This record gives sequence, structure tokens and C-alpha cells, in this order.
Amino acid sequence: MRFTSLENALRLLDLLSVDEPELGIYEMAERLGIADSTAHRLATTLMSEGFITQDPNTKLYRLGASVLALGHVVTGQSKLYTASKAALQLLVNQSNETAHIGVLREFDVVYLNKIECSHPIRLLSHLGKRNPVHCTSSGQVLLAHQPSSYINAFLQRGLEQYTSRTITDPAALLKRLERIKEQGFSFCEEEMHEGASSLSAPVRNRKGQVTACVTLAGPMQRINQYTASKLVKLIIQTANEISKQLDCAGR
Amino acid sequence: MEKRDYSLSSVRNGMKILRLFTADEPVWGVTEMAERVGLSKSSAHRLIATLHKQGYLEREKNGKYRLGLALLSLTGIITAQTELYRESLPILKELAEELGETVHINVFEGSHVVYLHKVECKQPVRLLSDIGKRNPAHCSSAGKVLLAYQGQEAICRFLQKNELRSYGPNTITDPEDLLDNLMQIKRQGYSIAVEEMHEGVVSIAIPVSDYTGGVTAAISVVGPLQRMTENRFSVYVKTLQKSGRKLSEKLGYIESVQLG
Repeated sequence: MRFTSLENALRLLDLLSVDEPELGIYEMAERLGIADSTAHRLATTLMSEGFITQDPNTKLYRLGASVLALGHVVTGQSKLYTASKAALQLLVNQSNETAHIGVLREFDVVYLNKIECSHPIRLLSHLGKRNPVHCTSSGQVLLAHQPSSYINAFLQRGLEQYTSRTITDPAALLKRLERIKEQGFSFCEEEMHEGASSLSAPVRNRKGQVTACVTLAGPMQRINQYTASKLVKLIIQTANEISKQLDCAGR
Repeated sequence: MEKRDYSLSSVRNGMKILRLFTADEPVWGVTEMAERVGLSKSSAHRLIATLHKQGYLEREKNGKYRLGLALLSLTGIITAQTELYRESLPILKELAEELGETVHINVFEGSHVVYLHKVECKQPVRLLSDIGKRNPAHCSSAGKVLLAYQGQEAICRFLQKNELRSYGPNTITDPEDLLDNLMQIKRQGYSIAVEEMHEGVVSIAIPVSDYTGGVTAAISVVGPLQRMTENRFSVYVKTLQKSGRKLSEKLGYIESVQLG
């Protein structure tokens, strides 16, 4: 497969992941399947525009400050981000769990905002992280409210197994989606990560369409069938408040 | 040569297009972008199509563009990383000092184990400078410990996808043996690899958990067999476990839920 230079530059940015935030020029060239000299030219260009930066000691490259600035433009511009910020913070204060705003992009769920609970760090999710739809509560609640044409297209792509509890049977997933629509929230236990669970409720735009969701995620010791009813009440409240804010913002 | 120069300028122009977007001017049309960056409309169009396809730009109903969520993902990587660096580095430094050997913090990626940080020991002889950043999971202590806590399905998928290639004199190449070993690792809460990846090299690793209760990283110590002798393994394990608990706590792990 041949890529244009710009495509290769974006692929290079994608290489710098949470797991591997720093890479050397030879590693990047190898992973991208391009010549070292080409990788060097790409890196130099990206660096001159501030998208990556080089550690002067190790010579490794990592993402640069331009990216942070543009990230702020994305969130600052998003009506959903602005409308949800206060309600999401309130939810975190009330539940002491980490809260997210999720939206669909193609066939993934992406986290547009994330507010941490008092536990200082999390490795499983980050802002902008793309997660599979069928094994996350956020993905399921968003999927449940999509037109059947979208759901069918999604099912045709196959349901990859992540844990022993991932739903991989399309019929079982459809049944789950029906239930989510009836009960107004989704609850996933260990469907993507062992030991982790999450709860999501739908956010609606002015036309009543589900365009986003509110999600709480954490360890099963804290988010489980015993604590769910209290947390569900809180996320539904939050989701309704955000829907209301979106409605106001649209007027 | 001409073509290479063009390549560079296309990347530069692509990045310049992205940088046009600000809080004050968050929406741009193709013609405006072309004008501002100094491109023909058709060249701009080509670059914009690529940025759009990769999620860096999103198209509005009126045909104009705004920045896409792919950028947000890059932002998230920076912040997540900064926090992880901040939390783990002091602990690793202390550990390297205490053990007098090189220590790493590792995460699992695909079928490899990748280390995020390495803190070198002060020993004059560092045999291990040739050990890379990315190693096969089945023959490193960190890889095995991360694999052991992945759950049965993930382990089976790993075994189906990966051939257990031999790297050192003691590499486990039989899937059944590896499974047994992984089960043992989970029971005991640590893994030791003696000459499984390199001759004369030992590594010992313990799991690190985060707020979800799941194992997300591993701390390992790596050194030559001459220094890291078998009679001292238990000392290494205890010291590693102390650091592991400290880091897990900083990552939001609740102590009452014991591992293994």
C-alpha cells in the first residue's frame, strides 16, 4: 500500500500512543515501512510546525505543544463539551467515580470529555480515546438509539471478543440493546476489561435524538449490581441536565 | 529530488491548515484555507480530504470544516502520559537505587511488552544495553506477568496468534508449559525469567494495578545472572512488591482487593 506524505505524517503522529509516547527515527521508519531518510524528513517537518518535539538527550520524538493547543480548540468549540462540563463535574462530586462524555465516530465511541474522581490516575481511558462499541456501556447505549441500518452495518463488522463476558453473538447484542432502550441506561461488567465496569445514560439533542452519553467507569468493587441503582439515578439526572443545557444553547 | 521536496511541503501545508483553526476562528471553508496557506484550491482540497479521512477535520453541513476528534486523542495521550511519568519515575529511581540493578516499567502492547521508562543502575558493568524497548511477551518476566493477568481468553488468543520463538537457552516454547507457568505466576504474584530471552540474564517482574483493579503495568528488574543469583530472588521479589504496591496506590488501586 502506498501512502502520500501527509498520510505518512499522520500515521507517524498515530504511532506516538499512550503506551509508547516516545520513539526514535529508526523505529518510526520501520513501523511505517518507509526509508529512514523519509522518516527523518517527515519528523523534521512535523517538528518545525510544533506537532512533535525531540528530547535533546535521548533524541526520541514525542507529541508537541501545538497538539495541545489544537485539542483545546476542539473542546472549546464543542457545544456538547461546553454544555456538559458543569453537570459532569457535579456527577463526579456526587459519585466519586470518573465520568466521561462519549460520542460515536464511525463505529467507535470516543471520549470527548473526562473528569477524574479523587483517585489520581487511570490508564484505561484518556481524552479522545476510541473504544469498541459492543463491549462498553457508552458504546451500547449510543448504538441502542441508532437507526437499524447503522446497527446492521455495525453487526456485519463482527463482534471481537475482549473478555469472557464480551457479547459476541449478534442476536444477544440486539436483545441487550432492546433492554437498554427500555430501561434508559446501560450497564457493562467486565465486557472489555476484567475487573472494570461502567454505566451510561443517553444525552439527547433538541430534536430528541441521542447524540452522546454520560458514562461512569471504575472497578467492579465500586460499580456493581449493588451500587448501580444509586449511580444510575445520578447519571440519568446528569444526562437529562446536559440535554437541557444543549437545548438552551441551541436557542 | 523534486518529488521529495514536494512531499515535505505537503506535510508542512497540511499542518499549517490544521493550525489555522483557533478558538476565534474555529470554522474554515476550502477556499479560505487555500488562500491563507497559499495553495491552489485543488492542492488544498487534496490535503483537506486526507485530514478529513483521518479524523483530523470534520465537515459541517454547510461544507465548511472544523477540527476533528483525532486531535483530541493526541491531546489525551500527552496528558495521560505526563501523569504516568510523574507517578512512576520517583518510585523507579528509588527502586533502582535499592536493588542496584536496572528497573523498567512496562505495558502490554499487541503481543509485545514495551517499557515506558528505564532507570539504569550505577553498576559499572551494564550487560544489557542491547535489550530493546519492545520485547516478545513470552520470554520476559514483565511480559509473562502482564500476560498472566490478562484472563483466559486473551491468553488463548495470544497463543493462537504467536509462535513461541526461542530467544535464550530457557525460552518456554511449548504453549502448555507457558500456560502452566502463567498460572503459577498469577498464584504467586510475580514472575522470574532466567535466561529466557538472553543467555546470562535474569529478569523479575511484579504486576501494577490501577483504579479499575485490573493489572495495567509491570515493574521489572533486569540484570546479569552473576549478580542476581538465585538465593537473592526472594529479596528482589519483596522489594519489587513494595514498589508495586506504592505505584498501584498512586494509580488509584484499592489495597483491600488483593492480587492473586
